[in-house]
Amino acid sequence: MEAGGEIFHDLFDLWNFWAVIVMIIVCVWLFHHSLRYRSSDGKTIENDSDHFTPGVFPKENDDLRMELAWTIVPFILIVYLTFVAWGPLDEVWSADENAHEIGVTASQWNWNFDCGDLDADICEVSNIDVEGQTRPLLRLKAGESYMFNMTSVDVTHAPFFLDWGIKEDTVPGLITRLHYTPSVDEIGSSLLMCTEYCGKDHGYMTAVVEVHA
Amino acid sequence: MFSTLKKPQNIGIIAILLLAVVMAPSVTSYPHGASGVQDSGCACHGSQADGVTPVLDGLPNELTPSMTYTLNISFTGGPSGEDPNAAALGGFHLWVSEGSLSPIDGDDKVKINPDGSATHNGIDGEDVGTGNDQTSWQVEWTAPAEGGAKFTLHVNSVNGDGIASDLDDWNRLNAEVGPQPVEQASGLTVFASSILLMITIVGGCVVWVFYRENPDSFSWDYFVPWLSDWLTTTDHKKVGTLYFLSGFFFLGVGGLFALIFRIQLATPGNDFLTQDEYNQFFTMHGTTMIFLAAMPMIAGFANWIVPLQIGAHDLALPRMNALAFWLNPAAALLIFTGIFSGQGADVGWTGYAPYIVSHTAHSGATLWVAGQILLVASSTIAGINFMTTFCTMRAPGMGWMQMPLFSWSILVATLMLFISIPAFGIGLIQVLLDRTIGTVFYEVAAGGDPLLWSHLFWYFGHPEVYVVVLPAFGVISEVLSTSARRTVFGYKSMVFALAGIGVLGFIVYGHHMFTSGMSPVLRFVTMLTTMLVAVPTGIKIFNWLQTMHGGSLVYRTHTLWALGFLVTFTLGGISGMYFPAVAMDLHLHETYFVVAHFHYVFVGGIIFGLYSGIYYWYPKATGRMLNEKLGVMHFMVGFISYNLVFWPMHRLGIQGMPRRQHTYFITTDQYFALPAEAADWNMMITIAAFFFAASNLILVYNIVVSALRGQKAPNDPWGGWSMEWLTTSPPPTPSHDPHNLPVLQFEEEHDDGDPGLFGRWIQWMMIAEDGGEEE
Amino acid sequence: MSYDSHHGDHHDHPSPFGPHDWSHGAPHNSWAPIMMAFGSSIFLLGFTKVFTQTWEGDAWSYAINSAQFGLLIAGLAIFTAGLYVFWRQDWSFDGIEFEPKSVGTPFRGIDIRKVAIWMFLMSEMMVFSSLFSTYLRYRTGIDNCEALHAAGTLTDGTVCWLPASYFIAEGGWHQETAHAALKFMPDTLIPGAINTFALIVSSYTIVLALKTAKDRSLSDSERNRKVGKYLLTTLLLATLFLIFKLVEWFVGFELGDHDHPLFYSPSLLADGFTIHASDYTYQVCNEWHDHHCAEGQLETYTIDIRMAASTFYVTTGTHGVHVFGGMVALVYMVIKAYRGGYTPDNAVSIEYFGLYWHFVDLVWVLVFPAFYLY
Repeated sequence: MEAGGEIFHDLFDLWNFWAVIVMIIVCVWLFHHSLRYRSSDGKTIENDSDHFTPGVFPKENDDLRMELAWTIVPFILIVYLTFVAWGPLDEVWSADENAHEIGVTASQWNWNFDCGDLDADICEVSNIDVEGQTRPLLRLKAGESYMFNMTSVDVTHAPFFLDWGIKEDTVPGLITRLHYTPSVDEIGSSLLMCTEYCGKDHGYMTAVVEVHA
Repeated sequence: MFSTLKKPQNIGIIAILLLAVVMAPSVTSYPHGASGVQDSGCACHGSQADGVTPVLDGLPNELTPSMTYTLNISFTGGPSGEDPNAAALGGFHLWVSEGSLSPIDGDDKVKINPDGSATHNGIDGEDVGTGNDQTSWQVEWTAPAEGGAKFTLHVNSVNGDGIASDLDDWNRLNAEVGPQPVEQASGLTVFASSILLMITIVGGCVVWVFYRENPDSFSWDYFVPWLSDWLTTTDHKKVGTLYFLSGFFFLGVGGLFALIFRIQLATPGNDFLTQDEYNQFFTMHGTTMIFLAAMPMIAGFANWIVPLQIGAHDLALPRMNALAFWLNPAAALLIFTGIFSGQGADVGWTGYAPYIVSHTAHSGATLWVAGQILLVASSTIAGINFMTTFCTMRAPGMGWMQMPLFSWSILVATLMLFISIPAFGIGLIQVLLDRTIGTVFYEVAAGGDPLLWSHLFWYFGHPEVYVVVLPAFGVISEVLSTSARRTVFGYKSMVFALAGIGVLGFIVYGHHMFTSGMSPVLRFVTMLTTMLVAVPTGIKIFNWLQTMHGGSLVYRTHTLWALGFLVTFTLGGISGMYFPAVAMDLHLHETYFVVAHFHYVFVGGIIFGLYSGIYYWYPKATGRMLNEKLGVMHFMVGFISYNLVFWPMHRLGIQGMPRRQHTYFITTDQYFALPAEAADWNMMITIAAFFFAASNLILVYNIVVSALRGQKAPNDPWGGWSMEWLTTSPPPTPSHDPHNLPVLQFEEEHDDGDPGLFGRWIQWMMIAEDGGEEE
Repeated sequence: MSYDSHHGDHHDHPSPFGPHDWSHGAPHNSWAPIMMAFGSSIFLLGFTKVFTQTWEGDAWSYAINSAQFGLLIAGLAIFTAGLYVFWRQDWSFDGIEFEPKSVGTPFRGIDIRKVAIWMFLMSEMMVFSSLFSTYLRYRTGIDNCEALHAAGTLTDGTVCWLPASYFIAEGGWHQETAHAALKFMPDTLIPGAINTFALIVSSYTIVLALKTAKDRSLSDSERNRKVGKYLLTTLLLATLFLIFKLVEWFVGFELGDHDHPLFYSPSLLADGFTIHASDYTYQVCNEWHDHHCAEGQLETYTIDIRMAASTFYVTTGTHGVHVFGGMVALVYMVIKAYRGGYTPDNAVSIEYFGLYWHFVDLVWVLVFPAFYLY
């Protein structure tokens, strides 16, 4: 298993690709210039090209074409990346009308899952031991579409579905929704953690989500 | 020695201070926080009196584990019983460290509080039981399965007039039973002792600095005037030094917090800190580093350098400047008060509602909020001062587009800060009132909206990030240009990039709230705007790189830090680009990837920038050169260990390690969590963190030793062009002669003196028709 | 010039307590900043200790811990002493020898103080913007109680918004009696209306003070007297404003006998409009009969209107604090005026205070309709 869902990894790989390219450009440029244009012994001024004198505004050093180039080229890259990041939004924020609705109620410091009338095969809640503490275990079925309707009774919490790479705050007085369809690749159990700071036992506010075939 | 005492005003001041000390009985820290409520077991009874004798009977000499004992609580003395028809006689409150308390079956005179302590029934006019009409009570205590326990008993002797007042007395009794555990050093004790040690060292340093200033004619007679001169100074250089020293001190304090909770995180399931301590420590780490370390250090640089650089004799409002500084230590006192009572703020530096107004948050959070309010006041005052200085005190000949880039960066940062910080201030006032007088701005049951706080906070919080990083940009521009002997490439586009970041900074804050339940439309809009921030930031980075072109780079320590900054800040900037993609942020939000990102920006950006600034301007400020060898050593150790600390955090974040958590979970047979390697990475981070901390000691040593024995610095040791290098090292007071201000000269032909369209408009707006205000 | 500060040469220093010799430039040392900073810190510490709340298992209980008042007062005392030192140094300021002027474009020749006060007002604008954001968020986000009642969905325990105007402009439960007694204006709006008038007039008197101070045709003693009089009028109007506000909040008016009042205006507190009003008794009368509700026509609900009250008190309270700050400054200015501190060459301080005062007035013009009328 790997943390983060498919959408995350697709985007992440693309971003890494461009990050490496940008970093290579910057580093090569940096090392080339800092070695090529160093003064001979690295200490004394030998080629003071712009003649700095205190209290005198130095002569200009600019090149509009170059400045425009590194305004426009990154801008195009940004537009492209934005366009790519735009696509999966539908996936993330979609609302499948036929999804199985699961209620999630957070409290300090526990998760409460409510399967409603769903079959035990599709949604079932039981208990599991996490490092000596009894925690809820939510069993879901791969390939089914789920809508989590979430709220909180006290302060803000946020369930982090580690394996799927999604999270959303549970806000008291508000119902937030999270939609996901676990795939067959995601069969197995993974830890659910709280990712909005909520007080003393925040770090131990866990649950386990199991996806079965 | 006490020559200042001769003046009646001084005596008045001292009298007021003494009065404050006398009238501040509540400054002592209580076992359960600074709110004073648990002081007497009941919020109502005023004075502690020896005449009241608490009695706690029924404790065995030899403790049997898990056995239940009946404890008899009673008291004698005090005003109780003076009035036979009294409405109430007394009360008690019993805390126990181990085991559990319970009332005897059928006894309605005693109740158990949510925190596990026991008290009499009938508080606040409740008619349950008659617990307030007694002078003795019984309660059952179940001993712990192993070890002993400690008891704290408070009793109230009430005069029965039905009014809780100072006429009622109370007293305290401490008792213990069974084997007491060997005292282990708790994280809190370690922290408290370190702070005390630091304060002692600072105190020693103050005296020592006084001695060193004039060792030949050393006399204690001058100590009080010398000290009061520092306490009352309004000179921008001295205030700047004070700012810098207080920022540096709190950098150490914040670092100490970090080291202590890094020990906690070194291995999974560690219990070096309790959860309560851990939560306080990461809260205080964030608050201290941003508000008490980074901001004052930046303000220190701005104070020192801006007037020198723009050719002014001082800042526009010198006394306001001193006020803005002194609010910092005053606020720090409030922010830290909670920590020492074990009930420090545990709300995260973001202080999210509704947790911050909930009863589960520590009582110290109230004072944390109060301290932040003072910091907001400080920033506002400093902002007004700097904006006014920039608008009115630039030397003749220096138009807006001839200001050195460091000054520009401070200008943009100040403008951003002081437009954004009132929103935070109002949010804090709302929270403070929610936590004291009981308004309901963030009380969900009364319709309060937690997201309102997030909006007010991040409307300030995101610009704040740029507020602290922009001055570092300014330092890097100055240092790279001077070191490479080249004018900074594209001065105008640098200024426009700064301004662009300043504008964009206000409309991107929604990216902190991608998973908060905010409207998807807003999330989408801020996704687009956040992406755009990369453009002006990119312009700056490429301009810095191009500045070296055709130059003659001189390698000094400040050059090394600036080059290091370029690497780490670019990395931090790039990792920032992962968050605006909402689908990616859903995974990365609130994980260590975020921690890695903002430490690459804050430490790799701001702190490296400021270190570069220290090495660059130290000769100007002190008249002595810093030791280059020590500087290079500082850079090598610091740069490498810094990357070892924060680079692995990216990986931990991708693997899904959430931040702000007391521990982390490794994959077991039953469920998937972090891979086993995460524990190794965390251990490595902790070890590297100690090296990074140690590297800063090299800087401290260098600063101290060079101040004494450093080579004398010339006026312009690095060959910079801006006006601070015109002055002597250290500069005189006033920094430039106000009656003979320097006039900016130009290397190339330049048309100066035309105020431009905007300038003419301002003049038309601001100057009266009759010309009454002209020179 | 006595700019040089050298260790051991302390006697020529301008006193850090003032008064200050301004011909030597800005004060070099001052005890005011450190005193004001720590004073406000102690004040806030005292505030959190005096006003405490304790969690009682299911709700907060509130207490005023009077034993801790000392801390609050000590903080205020230190702050005030600091402010006094600040003023004492300003006392001798005559605006002739030392009035720093802007040297840079585009503000060249303008007083630095003037630019500073505009900067200050910029941040003040953000303060009130934030308060109004809060107001708009909750005003639009929480259902109006009267609308809920009209729609028939109001039940006991509902969290809803009962605007202050319900108590003020409409007279609340006392609507009908009040209208009978005073047909032309809803009852409790009177203090608010007088206040609005008072503030607007005070903006005028401060301008008159400035105009008089600049008038060279007057003799010195006459000018001092007149400027002082106008400033004093401004101060009195501001005091009137605060007194009426406190009356409106806590005291109320009542004229005539209780059953058939000539003029009856209970305080907001007496009406039940408090920040702790989680069980406000909301009464609606469907049919009035001789100033009393007809038999069986009275509907009573217990509703939670704490949010409306919190927003009202904190926003108008913040404005009130600004008025109070202005009053403190006015006290200093009145004294200075009678002592001849304002001359045609040194009148701009009145102008700069006036800028602040107009701003406070302007904010009230926004607060008044948003909280009192609508």
